[in-house]
Amino acid sequence: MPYAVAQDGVKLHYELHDYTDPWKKAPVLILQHGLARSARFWYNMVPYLARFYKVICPDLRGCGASSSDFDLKAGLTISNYISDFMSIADALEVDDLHFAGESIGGTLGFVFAAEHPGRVRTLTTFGSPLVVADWLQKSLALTYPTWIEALQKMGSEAWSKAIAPAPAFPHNIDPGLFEWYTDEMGKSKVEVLIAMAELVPGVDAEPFLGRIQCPVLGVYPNESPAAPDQLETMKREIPNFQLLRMGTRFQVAQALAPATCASHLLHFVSTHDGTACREL
Amino acid sequence: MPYTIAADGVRLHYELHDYTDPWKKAPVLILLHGIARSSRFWYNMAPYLSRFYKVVCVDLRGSGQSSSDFDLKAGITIQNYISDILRIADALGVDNFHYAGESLGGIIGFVLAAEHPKRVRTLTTFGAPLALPEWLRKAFALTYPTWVDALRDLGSMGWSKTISPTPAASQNIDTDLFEWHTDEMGKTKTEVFIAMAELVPTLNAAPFLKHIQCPVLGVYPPVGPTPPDHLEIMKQEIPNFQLVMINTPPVLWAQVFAPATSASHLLHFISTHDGVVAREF
Repeated sequence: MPYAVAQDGVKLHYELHDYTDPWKKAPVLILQHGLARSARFWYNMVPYLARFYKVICPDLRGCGASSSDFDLKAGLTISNYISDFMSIADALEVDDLHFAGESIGGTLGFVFAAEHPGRVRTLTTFGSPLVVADWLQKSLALTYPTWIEALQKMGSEAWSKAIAPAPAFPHNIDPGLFEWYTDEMGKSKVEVLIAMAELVPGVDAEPFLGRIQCPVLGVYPNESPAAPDQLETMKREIPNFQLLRMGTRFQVAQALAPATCASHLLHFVSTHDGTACREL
Repeated sequence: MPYTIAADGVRLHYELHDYTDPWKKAPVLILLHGIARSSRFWYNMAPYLSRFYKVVCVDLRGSGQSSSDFDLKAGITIQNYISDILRIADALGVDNFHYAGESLGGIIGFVLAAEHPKRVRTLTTFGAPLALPEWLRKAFALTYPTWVDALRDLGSMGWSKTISPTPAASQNIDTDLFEWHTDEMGKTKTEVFIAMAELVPTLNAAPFLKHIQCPVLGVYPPVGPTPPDHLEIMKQEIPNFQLVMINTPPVLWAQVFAPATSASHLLHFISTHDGVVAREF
């Protein structure tokens, strides 16, 4: 699987899934994972998308198969994440691309779209908040005083297993899905999670929304890290915004309903491109 | 992409397309290409299948990225092709698998299913005749006495470019698709192609049909390389046979022009056999 090199030399891994007609120049669609996840988490949506788009799933720096061998405190910043997206787009030699992100991946998407209007064709966010609210930070801290302490004391795997139930997954979920999902999250390097936990509470995408020129699709479960007031802000501030509510209150909508999520995403990006994404 | 080694040492390449849930043991579906093609030709069907099946696209020995560095005349045989497929199933660690083949890949499938009833869960053939029909043998020879003569003189690429614009086919078809197809076929090593052109006229799957125990789905265009009497023999001889006619241009490869339809029929057929639903929320 391919790699790109970031501006500061960090090795960035991404997956490429391409089942498009080789003689056509199909557009690129980036799928960006969120906190403590990786490129692998998109596996269930990819086949629905990759016949018509070159699907790129990057691992954020520090995550998945991207390098974590850099100064994490200095290197894990919003501007570096955004610059990494540009490095990957450059490695793919594309001027512009569609961008979809889940959780913090979509939060980064708001900033990316606002700052690089020439490069982002459309933006889709799955359950992405504008800010990680206090109540969410408290729930990420579990029984510890802070989120960071919880990570330090528990390590990635135990924290992942403890954080995932209730608000994220329904009680009657396929136990295999739950195991796999939390095992994969648990593979995150704890020092990377700690550095992300230091970064994320300071992030606020709201000031960027007014500058987003591309069409934006928000796909949100009925309860999500983006509280209702954040969705109201998106509606008010983003010039071209559509909101879709999934008929579930569980946060990991795209893990539970991949075909539905992919169908909405595909329809949104292909309508923007003026191409039909169905065939005989 | 993965490789495995055949019983006689030939290096066999296959593509693996797997978007199934990692905690489930999804069954394997082997897709086998025809003459002068390769695993790459399945790219447009693979995404429709690989969410629910581990899709394995094999390069026949000599073709695609499989090795052609062996005694072609002695090594390109139907028994070796079948042994190679079983070898790949072994490498994947599966007792049995679904099998679908187009053209020669389907002919191999008839024999494979008859000879190894325990290993083949279902068989699907796309436009595969039982044997190379006489008219096609003449068409493949172009203006030469034999098909092999045509290949010797023109080489793979020259032959592919000459054979491709079959009647009617070129009229309402994306010309880029046609060019891609022809170029890919032209990449076949000429000496491999010749060895296949020597083998194929000797094959006849008809005697094997009645020994096929698994369900068989035949997907055929209304006009193609398979004469109507071959389809009649399939209906008569194969104990469990369904035929689906697919309304595509009258050329060799229906699945090229209707990948979603072809994949949908295949997926429905094999998942119904397995008793699983291959659709999700």
